[in-house]
Amino acid sequence: MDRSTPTPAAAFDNRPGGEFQSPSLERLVRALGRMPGIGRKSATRIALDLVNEENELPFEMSQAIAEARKNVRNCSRCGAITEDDPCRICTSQNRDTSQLCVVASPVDILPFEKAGFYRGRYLVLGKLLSPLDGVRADDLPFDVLEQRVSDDEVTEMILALDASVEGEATALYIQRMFQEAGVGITRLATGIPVGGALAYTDEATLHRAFQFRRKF
Amino acid sequence: MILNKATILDFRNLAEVHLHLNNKVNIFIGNNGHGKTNLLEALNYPSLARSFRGNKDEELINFNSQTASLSIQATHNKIETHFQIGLNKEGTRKVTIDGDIIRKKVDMIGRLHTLVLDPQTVSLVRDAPAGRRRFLDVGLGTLSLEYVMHLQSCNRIVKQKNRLLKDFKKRVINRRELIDNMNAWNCELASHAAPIAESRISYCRELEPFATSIYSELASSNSELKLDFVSRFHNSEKEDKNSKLEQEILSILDYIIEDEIQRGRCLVGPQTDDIRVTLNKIDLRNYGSQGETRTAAIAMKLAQSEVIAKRKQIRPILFLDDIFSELDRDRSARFQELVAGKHQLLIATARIEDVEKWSPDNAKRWVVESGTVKELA
Repeated sequence: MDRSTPTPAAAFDNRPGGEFQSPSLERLVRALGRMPGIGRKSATRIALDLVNEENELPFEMSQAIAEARKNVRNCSRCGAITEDDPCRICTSQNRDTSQLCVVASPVDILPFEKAGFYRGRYLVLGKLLSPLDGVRADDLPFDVLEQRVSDDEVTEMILALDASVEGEATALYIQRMFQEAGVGITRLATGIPVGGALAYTDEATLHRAFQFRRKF
Repeated sequence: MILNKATILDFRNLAEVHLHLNNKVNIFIGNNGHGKTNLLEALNYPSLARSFRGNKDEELINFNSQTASLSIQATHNKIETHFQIGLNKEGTRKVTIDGDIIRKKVDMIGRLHTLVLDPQTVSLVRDAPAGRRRFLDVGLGTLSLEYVMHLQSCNRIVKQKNRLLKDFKKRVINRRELIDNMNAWNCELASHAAPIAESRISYCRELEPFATSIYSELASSNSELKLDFVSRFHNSEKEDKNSKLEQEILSILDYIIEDEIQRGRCLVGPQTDDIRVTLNKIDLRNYGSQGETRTAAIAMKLAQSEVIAKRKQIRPILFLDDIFSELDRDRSARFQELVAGKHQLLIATARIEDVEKWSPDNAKRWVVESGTVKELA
C-alpha cells in the first residue's frame, strides 16, 4: 500500500521566488493557475513553454487576447457572445421569433448552435436563483424576459436550465411568472443520453427517464 | 457481506494495523482509550464514506502524520470488493473501489453494507429527533441513491431559503421580494420533500414487523412495537400518492410562510420529521423504561438489517461497540444469539466476560493496546 504524501504545493509558497529561482516565473505560474481548469502542474508546464526564447506563440497569443478583449461583447438583446451587437441570431430573418430558449449562461447557447436544429431565439439569464450567492429574483433579467415575450409574440418558451437545485428553482419561478400569460412553457427532457448504455445510467436519471416516458 | 482483510495506516491512534478477519465473529478486547472504537470506525468508513462518529476526515488522521490510509477488502457472494481510501490533512480524499477512482460520495454509498450498534444507538429512542432522522437517512441511503440525491437537494434548498429569510431580517430585501422568491423555493422544496416523505413512510412500515418480532425475542415477551412516521406534511390516516403529497406539502409551506418569516428560518421540511416509537401503545420516548428504550433501539437497528436482506439479499456486517454493558445479562445473551450466524460480527468490548459465550473455535480475538492490535492465539 502506498504511503505517498499529498501535493506539496503549499510548502513552496513560503520560499522567496517560489519553487523557481525567478519571481517573475512564479508570478506567471500563479496567474495561469488561477485560470479555470488549470492546476499548478499544468500552469508550470505552460509557463515554461511560454518563456522559452524560441517560442513565438506568446506574442501571437497576447495580440489575440488583446483583440478578443476589445471586440467580444455580449449581445444587448439576448446576451450571447458576439462581435456584432445585436448578434446575428437576433438580427437573422430566418429565425422563428415565436420560440424563445432561456439559458443560464452564454456558453449554453453554443451546443444548440453547433447542433443547428433549433431555429428560434435565445435569452441569457446570466445567473440562476441562489440566495446563498446573493442572487434573488430581482437580480435576474426577468423584466427583459417579459418584454421579449410580448414584443416577439413568443408562443413557446423553452427552459434550458441546469438540472441543479438552483436551475430548478429558477425554472419554477419563471413558470409561476407566466402562469397566466398564455405562453407555452417547456423544459428540456432529462434522461438517458443518446447512444448511452442503459446499464450504466444512474438511478436518479433512470427514474426521471421512466417518469417522463413517452408513448411509443 | 464479509470483511476479509484490512490494512490501516495512521488512522487516529492506529499507526499500522493488518487484519485477517474471521468470517463469523471478531472480538477486540482492550481498555478504554486504546483504540477499539477507532478500529471499528476505520473498518466502517467505506460504508458511508465518512466516520460513523460524525468526525471530519481531517480529524481521522494521526496527529503525527499528514495522511491516513485504509485498504479494506470485503466479499459478498464470493465477489471481492477492494476499497482503498487515502485521507490528507488538507481535507482532500482519494477513494478507489476495485481500482476505479470514485469522485462523488454518492458513488461510494451502498457498496459496503454495515450496521453500527454503539452506546449512542442505544439512546436512539430517547434522543432528539435528529438521531431518528439519521437512522432513517442511513437506512434508506444505502438502499436508494435517489433518496440521497433528493435529500441533498432538500438540504441545499433549506439553506437557500434560510438565507432569504435572513436577508429579509437584515433588510437586504423587502417583503414583496421575499414572498416572491420564497414561492419558487417552496415549490421546489415540495418536489423533493414529497418523495423523501414517501420513502420514509414506507420504510417505517417495512421496518415495523421485523422490529416487533426482534423486540419480542429480545425481551422474551409478546410485545407490539410500532414505528409511526411523524411529519407536519403527513397525516397517517390519509393514503396519498406522490403527486398529491407534493400539493399537500406546498399548501402547508404556503400556510406557514408567516411563521417562517417571523422566526427567520425554515420551520418545515424533511429536517423536522420524526418517528414515534410505541410499545404496546405506550409512547416509549416519554414513558419507556431504560431497558425498554434500549431494547427497542436495538430492535429497530436489527430490523434495518432484515430490510436490507429482504430488498438486496445482502446481510450487513454488524459492528458492536461496547454494547453489552447497556443490556442486562439475559437480554445480552439473547441478543448475541439472535445476531450470530446471520451476520459477521465485529465486537469491541472492555469486559471479557461479556463475550465468554464465544469459544475460541468460532471466534477470533484481538487485544487492542495503545493503538496496536495483536491477535490472541
